[in-house]
Amino acid sequence: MHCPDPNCGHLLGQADLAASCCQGCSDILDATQIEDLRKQFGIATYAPPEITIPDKTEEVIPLPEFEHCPGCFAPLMEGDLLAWRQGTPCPFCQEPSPQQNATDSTQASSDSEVLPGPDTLSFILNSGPNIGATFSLPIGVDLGRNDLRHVLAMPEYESKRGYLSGEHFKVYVSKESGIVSIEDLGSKNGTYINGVKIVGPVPRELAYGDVLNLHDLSFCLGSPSSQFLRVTHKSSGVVTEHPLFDAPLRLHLGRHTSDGGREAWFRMAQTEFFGNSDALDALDTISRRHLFLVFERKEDQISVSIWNEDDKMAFDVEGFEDLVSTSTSVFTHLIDPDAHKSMIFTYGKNVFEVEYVPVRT
Amino acid sequence: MPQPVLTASLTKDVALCNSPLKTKGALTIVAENNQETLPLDLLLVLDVSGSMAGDGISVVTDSMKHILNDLMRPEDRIAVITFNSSAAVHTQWTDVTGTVAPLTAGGGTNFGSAINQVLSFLGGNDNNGSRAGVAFFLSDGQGQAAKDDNVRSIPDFGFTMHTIGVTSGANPIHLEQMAELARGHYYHAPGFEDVKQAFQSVFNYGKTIVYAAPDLDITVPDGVALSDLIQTPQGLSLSKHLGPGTHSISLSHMIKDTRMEISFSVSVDNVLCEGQTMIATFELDQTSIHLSVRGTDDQTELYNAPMNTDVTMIAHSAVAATALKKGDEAAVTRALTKMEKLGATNPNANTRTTIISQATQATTQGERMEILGKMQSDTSGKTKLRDD
Repeated sequence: MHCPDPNCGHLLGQADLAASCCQGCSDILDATQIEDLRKQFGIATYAPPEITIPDKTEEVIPLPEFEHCPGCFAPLMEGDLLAWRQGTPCPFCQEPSPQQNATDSTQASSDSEVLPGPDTLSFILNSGPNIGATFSLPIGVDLGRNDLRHVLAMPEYESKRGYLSGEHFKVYVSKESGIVSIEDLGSKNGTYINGVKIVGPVPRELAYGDVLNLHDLSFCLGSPSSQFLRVTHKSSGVVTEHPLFDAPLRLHLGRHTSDGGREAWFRMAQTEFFGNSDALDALDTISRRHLFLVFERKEDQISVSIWNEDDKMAFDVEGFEDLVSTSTSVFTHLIDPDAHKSMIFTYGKNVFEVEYVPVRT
Repeated sequence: MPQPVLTASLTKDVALCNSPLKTKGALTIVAENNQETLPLDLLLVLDVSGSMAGDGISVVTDSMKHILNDLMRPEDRIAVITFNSSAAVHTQWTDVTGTVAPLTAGGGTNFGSAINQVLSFLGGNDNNGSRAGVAFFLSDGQGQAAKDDNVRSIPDFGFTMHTIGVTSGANPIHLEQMAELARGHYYHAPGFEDVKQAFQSVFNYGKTIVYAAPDLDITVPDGVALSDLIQTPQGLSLSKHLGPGTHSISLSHMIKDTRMEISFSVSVDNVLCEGQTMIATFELDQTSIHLSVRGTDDQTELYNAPMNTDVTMIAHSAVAATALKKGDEAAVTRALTKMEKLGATNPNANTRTTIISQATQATTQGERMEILGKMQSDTSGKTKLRDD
């Protein structure tokens, strides 16, 4: 290649390329000339050094479990967190631990007996091999997977425990009405009451017989120590407890609630049978509106009214054989609590035991 | 005294060592920000030969009155030299309070005696850089030529000289060469009615001067030569060749908010392998800068060393403007093609290419020369046409 200036005509070589100028007339070479010369001398096109962006595929390291100190908002972790939960003040600002206060107040109340009443509440676990187990949880305290460790101790629960957050939910009891309510603490996998997810800082009511779900683990309220009925769905093991107050107590052993939702017992049984099609089929033979029971206290005795809304799918009731043929009629009977501690209702593979418990032992 | 900012660079900062080198360099000069403009001394050098009689004389008289009455600031001055076969001072320096006597026309055209009169008039006038001097040479004809050396010495008095060719009787190439020697620009007036506009342009240009025709000192070491020093974007030839030694070169006036650019070719007998090889030292108004090149024998480093795109643009536009003045269209096209390619990496090259292309499309040589004269570069290197 020659310099294109007719007054120059210098034969371009490597020295011209090195200087990017014609060494005959000093005219500057343009991009095309430089590229052609590079090709001629087998010099690769200049490419700036490649920058490789590191491929970050590692999993994000999860934050360790922590609680914010309410005094200085420092996140308390590991040893500090354990100590804090056991009542040691915050190591940064010396804010006293609420556990310390709780212990103090418990001691104070037991010492002086000024403040009676439960600071824990009874719950029933309705999932897995330990189904039907009753345990208690503290009221007004942030609860999470560590607080349920004792009831979920069996290895079958290990994966389920992983779905619970360190601070998952909190239990409140109204001093005036005794109504129990649940607050979700921003848990990762959610808190549900009768299948409805509860969010935000507003506690939602949990009634007796309602199902509380922490992810797919089901729980019910255990009755306090007064008289109550314990209803067990035998094939699934699901247990609900219903205190007997002065007002009549109505139970429905069918699939649907009056407003079309699923009854809590049915919901829990379905969850428990998840993946077991035979058991689910048997469950489905129960009618939407099936057997109704109304219990009412009458001095020392209890009256029970029973009626069946489905004439084809009657229950067998031990001791009340007539009910089968008198399907839709209301059957009222005074039962002697001592004689009828336990009543068995059967339809196909669905067997319910309704147990009268005068006092929780 | 505020200091100008000098920058000097080569096409590449490195060169093959133990070898001779030919390359291009560029020097840029930017006046300090907020520099005050200087008071203006406007010297009119007017052709009053027979061909100017009638319309010509009356338009020129009107234009002078317009400057004196409407344009001049209190600190400005004007003087008039007239010439035909001989030359004379028509009006001594006067400010806005003065008057200019009417002109009369007759006789031949002698540029030489006009320039001699200018030199003897300016000889008694030393402004020492505190005032900007602009001479404005008007002619409608071709006259007995002035000696180049005489024209070239006008900037020594702090003056630059612009020329105006009126009507097709004027020779734009000759007048443009006179302007170039005196570091001025060429203005084009196709008819007498265009004279007034040209006067106004020159006056507006004169009002924006911040440095009056400064001297640039260039020291070249042994074994090095600089050649083809061209001021861009106008393509004003400053010097053909500078060998070893110290040289003083008159520059044109520096205009507010502009960058003065000087392109030059460099020839080095041998680039040293150790350290820097000195190319030149530039000094202007007690500010100086050294230009050198680093030698290496690493071929890969040389091939991949970045090119200074500003030097390239200034070099190409110097080639293009020079070729345009010579009327060498093939050379203009070659240079413009290179500048277009450069536009990919230096956007300033695009505006310059557009303006030079515009000049090549002008119908007359006079228009072409005027467009070149009106090109200027802002402080960042972007080119525009001065709009007076």
